[in-house]
Amino acid sequence: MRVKKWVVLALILPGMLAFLFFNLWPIIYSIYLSFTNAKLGNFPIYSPGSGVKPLHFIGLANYRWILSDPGFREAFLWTWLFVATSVTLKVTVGLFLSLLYNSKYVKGKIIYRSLLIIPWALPLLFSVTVWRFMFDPVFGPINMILKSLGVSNPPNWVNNPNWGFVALNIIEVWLAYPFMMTVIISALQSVPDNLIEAAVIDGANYWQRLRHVIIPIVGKPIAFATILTSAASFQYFMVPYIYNASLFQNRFILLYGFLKAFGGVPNYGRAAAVMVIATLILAIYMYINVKITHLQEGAKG
Amino acid sequence: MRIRKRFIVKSAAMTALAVFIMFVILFPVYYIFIVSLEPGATLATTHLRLTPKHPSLESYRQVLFGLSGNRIMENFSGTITGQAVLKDGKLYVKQGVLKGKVKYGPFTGFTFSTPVSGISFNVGTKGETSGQLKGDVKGLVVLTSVDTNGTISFGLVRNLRLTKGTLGNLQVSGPLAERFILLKGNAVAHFTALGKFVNSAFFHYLKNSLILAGLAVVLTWLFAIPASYAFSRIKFFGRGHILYFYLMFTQVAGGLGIAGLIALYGIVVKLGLYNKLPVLSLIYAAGGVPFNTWLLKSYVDSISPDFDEAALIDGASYLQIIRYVLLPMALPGIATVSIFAFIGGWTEFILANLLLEQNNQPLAVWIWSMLSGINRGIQWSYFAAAALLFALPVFIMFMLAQNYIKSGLTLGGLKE
Repeated sequence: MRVKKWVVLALILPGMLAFLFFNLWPIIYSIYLSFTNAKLGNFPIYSPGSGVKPLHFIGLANYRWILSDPGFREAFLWTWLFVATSVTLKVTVGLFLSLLYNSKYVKGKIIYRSLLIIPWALPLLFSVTVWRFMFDPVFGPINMILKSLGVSNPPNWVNNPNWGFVALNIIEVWLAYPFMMTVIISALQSVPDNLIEAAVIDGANYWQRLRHVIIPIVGKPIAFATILTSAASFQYFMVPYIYNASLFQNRFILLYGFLKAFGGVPNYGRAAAVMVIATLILAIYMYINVKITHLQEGAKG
Repeated sequence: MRIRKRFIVKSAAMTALAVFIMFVILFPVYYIFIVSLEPGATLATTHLRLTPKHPSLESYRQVLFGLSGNRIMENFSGTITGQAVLKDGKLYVKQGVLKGKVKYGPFTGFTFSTPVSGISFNVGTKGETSGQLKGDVKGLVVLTSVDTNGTISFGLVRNLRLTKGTLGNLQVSGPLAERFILLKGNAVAHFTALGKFVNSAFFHYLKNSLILAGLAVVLTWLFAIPASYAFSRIKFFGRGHILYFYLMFTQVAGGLGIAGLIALYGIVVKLGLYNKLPVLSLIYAAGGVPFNTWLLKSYVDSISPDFDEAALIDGASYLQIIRYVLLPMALPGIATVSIFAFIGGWTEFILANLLLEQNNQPLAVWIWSMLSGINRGIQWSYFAAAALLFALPVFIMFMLAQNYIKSGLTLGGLKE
């Protein structure tokens, strides 16, 4: 089938141009901004009365400032800590729920599974506000339960950064388990029954079957889901932003960058530099993971 | 027999565990629903209650029909009665009552009444007389502030015209001599349920949300449908690379979206596109291009190419093939993409908060900004009701299309 070039262009260009202009161009523009003195007064529009010098190139000054900022280092380390804790929790909980709701002993599992999808069907904004209410120090049911269990001084989940971090982990698990469960259950269902029966006949107990028969088969889809969910953890922004933005200012790298730009003292140049660094880290992280697991094979077809 | 018995015991225990865990997981959603059914004041107790003590729809009523005091400007017709004096072609109304009713539009059925005194009409009728005035009027009512009990705290009646009036045995008609009549304190308004709804804060934001999300859906069609056809059916240079790039992008889109936010903000402000709803729809649709194109492409892949090849041989153009062959067959895929685009536009609030002023902001921004006002004037129950109403359409759409959406959300991997 011979196709003229302009036909292809006409078909794919509208979407592609919009995408390039509103998604890719801002990223390139961000790179430029990260080398300038962009701040309130000269960006987006220069106002001469503000006492700020016009937008100009200042080399690596923003990057130097960021790398020497203790807040950035803190945010960087906490972000990776969050990736480690939340991914571990997500995979463990996802695996546990999948095994439970795929077990032959559980009656009516189809119904439970379709109900457990509910968190997926809710807007993120809604879910996080619900959890913000759950963790409310005064009105929240979690502290009410803790109090009735005899904890006289339950933690302040909303205003204490460390307890808040724990709360964010719980929220993230709650938000992500439907995805993990869907992926892992569909993988579990692809394990042939006769393989498990053969292992049973050979005298393997439950853990041995799990370890030597099931995990090797479902390992790849789980690895795939783990990478995607760890990338999501690294890009964690919405949840802390809705939950309590100022508390987690120095805990999540994207939130740190965002608040540098749209927080109290807007410094767009520095914020852009933070975003560029974050994007680079994410790109490298994704690249390594994709190389290790051959994720791109899934893209073919 | 013993094995059978063990199976039953184990099965009962595991099922109980599964049900218990499910309840724990879903508890937050259930609880927020319970909270929304509590009238605000009863929530102040710090006791956990698993069922509402006094279930009522009060919070929902407040969200949907609570007067927000939005400005109302409507034409009305009504009556005027009272003591009047005719002198030098002018009709002076001393003590009277003006009643008005809106006949058209969303505020149909809205009525108000106000005592009037010291107003006059230019009627041009000769003679001097006084007595009881009865007449029909038409005009424009502007309300800027109405209390919850219906008292008008500030409003105006403009362009008032006496269309047909009788004073004794004289027929009088003419426009109001003053520029306006002030409605204050003793004027009372009565809204219909629809009028209250249209005047609520909820409706104001709902309208913006619908425009934003609806337009995003239409733009998504424009961007994704032709492109998905090209990627699925035509072999061209760079096709695989673009597709691979699109797929990778979908996985880091969230982070990149935030990373590009500063620059995007700068671009939008510089181009003078700040506070424009359609621009935001365009940004949403553009951001969804990789994901939607991918999703729709894999859907078109599943349609046999024999259909469009047959059409091509019959001399159909590409647009005709897309329009008459692929569109009808790909409808479920298009529906899925539309739902994604709608949900995206409906729930996004970071950009909407950044690029829109209050008059154009959607529901999501309202919900988000209410969160910071909680315990400072906003009740949790009111908030819960508003948040549930906000989540409901998304929930319904997801449930309706959940099988398609699940395959979309786990896009790329797991080809079985």
